Amino acid sequence: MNLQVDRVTKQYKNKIAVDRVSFELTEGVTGLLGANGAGKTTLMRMMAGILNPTSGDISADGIPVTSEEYRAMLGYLPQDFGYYPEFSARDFIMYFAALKGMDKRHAREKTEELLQLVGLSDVADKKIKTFSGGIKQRIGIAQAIVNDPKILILDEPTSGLDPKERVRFRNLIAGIAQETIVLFSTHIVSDIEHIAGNVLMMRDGRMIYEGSWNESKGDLEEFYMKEFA
Amino acid sequence: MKDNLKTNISKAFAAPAPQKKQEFLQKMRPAKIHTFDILRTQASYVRAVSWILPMMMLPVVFIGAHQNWENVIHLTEAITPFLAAIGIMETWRSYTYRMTELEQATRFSLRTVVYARMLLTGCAGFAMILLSSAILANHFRISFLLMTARIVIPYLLTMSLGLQIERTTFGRNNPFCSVAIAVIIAALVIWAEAASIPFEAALSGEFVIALAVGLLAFTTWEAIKTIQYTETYA
Repeated sequence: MNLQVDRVTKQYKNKIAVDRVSFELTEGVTGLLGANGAGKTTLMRMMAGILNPTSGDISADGIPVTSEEYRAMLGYLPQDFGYYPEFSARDFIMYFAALKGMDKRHAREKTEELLQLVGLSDVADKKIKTFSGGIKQRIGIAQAIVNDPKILILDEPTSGLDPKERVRFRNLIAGIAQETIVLFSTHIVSDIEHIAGNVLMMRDGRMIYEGSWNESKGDLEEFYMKEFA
Repeated sequence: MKDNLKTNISKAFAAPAPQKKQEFLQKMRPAKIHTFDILRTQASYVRAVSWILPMMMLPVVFIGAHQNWENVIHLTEAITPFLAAIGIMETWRSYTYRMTELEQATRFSLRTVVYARMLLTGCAGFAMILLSSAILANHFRISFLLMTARIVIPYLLTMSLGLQIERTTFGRNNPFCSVAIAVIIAALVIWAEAASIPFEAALSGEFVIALAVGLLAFTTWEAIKTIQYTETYA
């Protein structure tokens, strides 16, 4: 699968949040690095079909971002999300499985599998409001992958996770990325340096680096710090 | 196949590990989903209170009519704005609980979710209004159409005003706006009854029915606008 972002711009009155950004993604993890306010979230929201670009196109194998078919293969985890107060962890995942068009039996099986995967089987029936930020984040991750997405967009997914959970999460994403396009935004280089085959860097709405990163190019963190100093 | 044969085969041969299961699942094209399935799914996520409260109107109307309460029609008119408020609150739940972004990125999209909720709670409200009208029209020997028109006007007024206000920034940040509108309209109905203002006597039956039809068209227009702009507000 090929996810194409073609000359995408997002303008809010006098501010250009994303400025003529173009790139292509294939299966594997792509890390999206940038300081706060660089335009990462705006770009990801456009790629998830939540925001309409001012100009430019986004499509996956020719399927436009606005179509139901695109959304059917999408998994998305925003930076910040809420939940209905009566929902337990299980209800939350089941709800999104239903919204993603999964039949009840498959949704139930997949929910149990994911609850185990994110280590929440024991507390699956507890209300989300009783959970810490890290556990809520794990539930968010579970809902993003409940439909076996072909495109997975994760906006700062590791925020709120402790170091052990971060490692566990990285391994989980690395496993999923073998057959999925994963776009993973962060401002913590260590989150992606071992799993991302491709790196994108944004500053002031523009893409300042795009390509693979390997050790021969030096230390990614050093490069990042130099660019954003 | 006999059960014991099945058991013996499963004992003799271990099931092979699934190969490329994820790849296979991802290649499957999504099955078409009908509107009825979407409504059924959403119906199970509408809060119980949003089903129960409209239903509680019926016993009040039934007992009122049976006991010959003289103000039962006004009481019913004063209750219906709250049915509208419940419907609006259910419609805007995604905003209230910051679920818009996640719901917008699903296959059905936020617009479909809002449409389904609006339709379900609207149907529940209208069903209760029609049943109440039937009871009251039968008891007071008034035309069913006129009785429905009288009861539905406060409902539609609350619904149309509520949808307009909820679309504003103030309304989106204050989820109880629709309840405040319902309280004002219910208070006006009660005040008109207490002050013995003869609205019904002053207005002809045809005018009341025409007003209800006009408000229905206006409310439908407001509902369409709300659905159209749903994702803009997210």
